Amino acid sequence: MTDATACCTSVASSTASNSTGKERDAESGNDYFGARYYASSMGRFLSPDWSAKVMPIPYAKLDDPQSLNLYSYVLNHPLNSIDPNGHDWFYVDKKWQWQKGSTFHDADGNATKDKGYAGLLVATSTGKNARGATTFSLTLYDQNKVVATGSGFSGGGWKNGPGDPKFGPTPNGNYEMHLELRDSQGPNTVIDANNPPHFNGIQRMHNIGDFDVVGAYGTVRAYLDPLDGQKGSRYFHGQEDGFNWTHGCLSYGKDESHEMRNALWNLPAQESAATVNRTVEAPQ
Amino acid sequence: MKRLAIILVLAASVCFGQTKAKDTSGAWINSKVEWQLDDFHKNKKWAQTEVLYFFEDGRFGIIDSSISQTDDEMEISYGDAQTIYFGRWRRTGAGITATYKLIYRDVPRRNGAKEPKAQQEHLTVHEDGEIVFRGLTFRKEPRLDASAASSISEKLPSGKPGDRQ
Repeated sequence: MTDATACCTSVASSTASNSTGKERDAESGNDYFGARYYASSMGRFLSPDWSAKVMPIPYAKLDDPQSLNLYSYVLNHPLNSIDPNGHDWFYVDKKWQWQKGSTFHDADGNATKDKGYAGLLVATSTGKNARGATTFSLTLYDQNKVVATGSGFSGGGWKNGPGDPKFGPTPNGNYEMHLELRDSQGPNTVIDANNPPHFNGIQRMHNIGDFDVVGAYGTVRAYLDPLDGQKGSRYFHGQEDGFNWTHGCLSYGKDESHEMRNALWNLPAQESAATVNRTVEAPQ
Repeated sequence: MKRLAIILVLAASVCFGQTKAKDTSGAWINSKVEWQLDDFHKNKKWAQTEVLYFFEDGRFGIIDSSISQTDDEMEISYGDAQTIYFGRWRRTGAGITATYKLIYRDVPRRNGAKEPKAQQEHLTVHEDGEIVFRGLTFRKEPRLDASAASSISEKLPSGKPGDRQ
């Protein structure tokens, strides 16, 4: 599954109408884009893209292999692209919505919401690893741009074999990370159960007393605030012990000089997605 | 890291009548739990606490972790580190005896540091339905039943315990 399918299917399910803003065929569930049908369940068009002018590969860009895929939708990056017919992603009422226009008015018509991708992590499952954990492709967005991509794992738990405990993975989806809440020092105490206290932002981690906090969380963890109604409270973190499974959090693994870890920690402290700097227009 | 069995005898004195399994079974949380408001969601709050869980069939567990409350729902945090003890409980006369050991912790001890030795505590069931455990008062919290039972059950190995040690 690609980023495109994850975004389209998960975000679409959170909106009352279809996520593409296009007319949906009642029988097939496909969206009509004027020229061809888009299968929202697959994140793919049902027929190749075509151009009015005959050419070998319409709209192809040789430096972007995805442009050669005539069935893809906005080059498999809906969070980073605008549909040619004028739609875009908007963060409204804690959900990503695919709406028409460069700005979007909420249901009451008395406010205009803005869009933006500050501190957004998109997680898409890709398979399983040897420890029974679900593997993921990860894309980290900030200020409407991709700042890092990588892979990770979640759940599983076969330390000694299939009889061991195994935990469910972080669900596919879009997760907001609260960049404005940052703890550079990390927790300096553990509660009586030897666990670091809950933290809602991005936090540096270090060992505390006899407890191997870094082994479990790596040196940085970020709370994942689900945008698509996913259940459970989880973190995005490293893992120095190298078990390659987690108790349901999302991990990118050993984090020494890890691109994803560095990109995460270097994200500028700023207000979250809904307040990215863009002009907000008055309601019409 | 070695697992250290912690055997605890909870000598319970019942102030009135005999507690029934159904009365006791379920999740109990510290009645003076300190809630902190979520930084970003007005309808959500967090607390760091200990949850006792009495299974009807005699199994028993203790969960140390964070819990969250959103509107009327309550759950044990999945991402915050958990420490789980598991064993059995039974009524002994007017009291309760529970035996349990550490089966799981997310944050392991370093350098082979050992767990504390066995502890012995007295558990009291009050007339108003509260339990006193290690000097802290616990009350029943049915909203945590499913989450607590799940948190304990998923840590139970079918073979060798697989705690992260």
